[in-house]
Amino acid sequence: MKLMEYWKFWKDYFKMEIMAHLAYPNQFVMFIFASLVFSAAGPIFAILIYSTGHGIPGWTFEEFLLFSGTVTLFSGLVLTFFVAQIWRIPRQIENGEFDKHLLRPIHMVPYTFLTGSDVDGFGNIIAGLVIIGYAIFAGNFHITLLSIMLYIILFILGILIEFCITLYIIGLSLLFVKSETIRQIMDTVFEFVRNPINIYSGFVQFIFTFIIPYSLATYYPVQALLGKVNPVYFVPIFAAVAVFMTFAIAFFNFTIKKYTSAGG
Amino acid sequence: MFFSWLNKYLAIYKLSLKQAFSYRFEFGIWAILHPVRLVILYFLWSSIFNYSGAAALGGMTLSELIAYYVTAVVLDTYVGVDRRLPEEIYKGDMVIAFIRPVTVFGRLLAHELANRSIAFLFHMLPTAVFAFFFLGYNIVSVPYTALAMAAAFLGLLINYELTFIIATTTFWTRAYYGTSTLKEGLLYLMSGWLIPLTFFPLIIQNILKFTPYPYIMFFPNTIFLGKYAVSQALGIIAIQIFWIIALYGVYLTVWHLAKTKFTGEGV
Repeated sequence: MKLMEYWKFWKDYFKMEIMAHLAYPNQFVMFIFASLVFSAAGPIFAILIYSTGHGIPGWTFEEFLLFSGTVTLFSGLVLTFFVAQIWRIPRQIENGEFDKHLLRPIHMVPYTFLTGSDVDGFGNIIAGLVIIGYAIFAGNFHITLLSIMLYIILFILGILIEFCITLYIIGLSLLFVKSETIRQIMDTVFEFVRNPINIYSGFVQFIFTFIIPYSLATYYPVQALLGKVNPVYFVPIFAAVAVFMTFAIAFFNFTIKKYTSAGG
Repeated sequence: MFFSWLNKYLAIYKLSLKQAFSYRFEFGIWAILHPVRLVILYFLWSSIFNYSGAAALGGMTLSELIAYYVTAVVLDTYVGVDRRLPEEIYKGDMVIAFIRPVTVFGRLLAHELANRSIAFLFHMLPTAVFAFFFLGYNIVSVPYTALAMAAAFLGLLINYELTFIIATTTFWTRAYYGTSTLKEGLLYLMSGWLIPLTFFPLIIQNILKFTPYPYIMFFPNTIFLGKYAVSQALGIIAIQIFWIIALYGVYLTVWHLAKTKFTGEGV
């Protein structure tokens, strides 16, 4: 029952978001086109480095395209669902507009997720799906039902990790009010997993697998789809995700309790 | 006469400098984040070079490529007019802007230069120092550095003019986010931000030379790397001056048309 209510809430909110963007239809269309231009950066980079050298170690051209498409799809989905909250809520906290949300008859964690939708990710979703589709078609990979399921599960977990990071950032904004710099730090952290993590040292790989399991968003789903990792290896990673999520929610709830209005 | 004209813009520059200085912490954070991003690029390109076993890729060695990205960070392509001008247009601030004794173009340029000065001190310079100590970043020679600095300044002017012209379209479109993102995307791909243009096929490199984009980032950067003879570098600077004059002409025309379009509803 609650899920149905959430779904209706999210749908109505998303509809409003689309209507707001369609107030300037030419800009909306241009923005989608611009997102496609930005999304082309990944494949263009892949074509250029694989045509001038051997490319990324451990990755064929088509495998790297699959990775690039997954990164693009991931960016598109998190932008569409909740990432906008990273700059919306801190701005509301600074302006003293956040307080009204606390009066709503819904817990702040789902509320943050349900009201974070934005159309900014549409272009990335389209581009990501096209790149993934092409890579699978051209790569002729040996894909099994199990590997597809693992890809989807890990990808969804990656999205949840991003949501937890969003909660951390909002939580820090609730404590410190000014948070622009925190967001910039998190953007930089994401830069690490925009590349396959096998190019980094073992220490960095460990950090992005077990401490901040951000590589679940991009690297591991692709490795699973390509059948390059034994599924047993994911068990400790799932445990790391569970710990990360528990801490994120606990920290967010703690900061909500500690929040004192910034005025308005 | 000239000095009284200049003094007005200097006053705006000084005021903007003070405003920008209050954001020194935000600028300072980039002094940490840029080195982190450079380290990521270092890992990426080291692995590509090691795997390929080649001494040079796209006409560049690994140390040149790292130096290229360091300089790219120092040059930076974002110009504040991309946000400020559209905001002033749709918030109705143009009504006041038109009656000021300074042009909007000159005022926002003075503001841009002030922001760049602070950015240079608080994140560009520390990034270059970090790269010097940890990534082997160094200058080729003093004359090349001087030429590259001149080219970088002219590149900034080209970028500013181009952005100003595109942002002026807000007078017609009433919103700017789509246009702005498209402009950023093209700049990212065509100015050499994503990857040095020498990695592109020759035909694309030759086509891009007829656009202003490579003169914003790629050419100032490769002059710094000492990739050209001094005469060739001077030739590039001459083309930059051509683009500045040409774009200024376009700006005058577009701005004139925009002013005729402006109605100042509700004044």
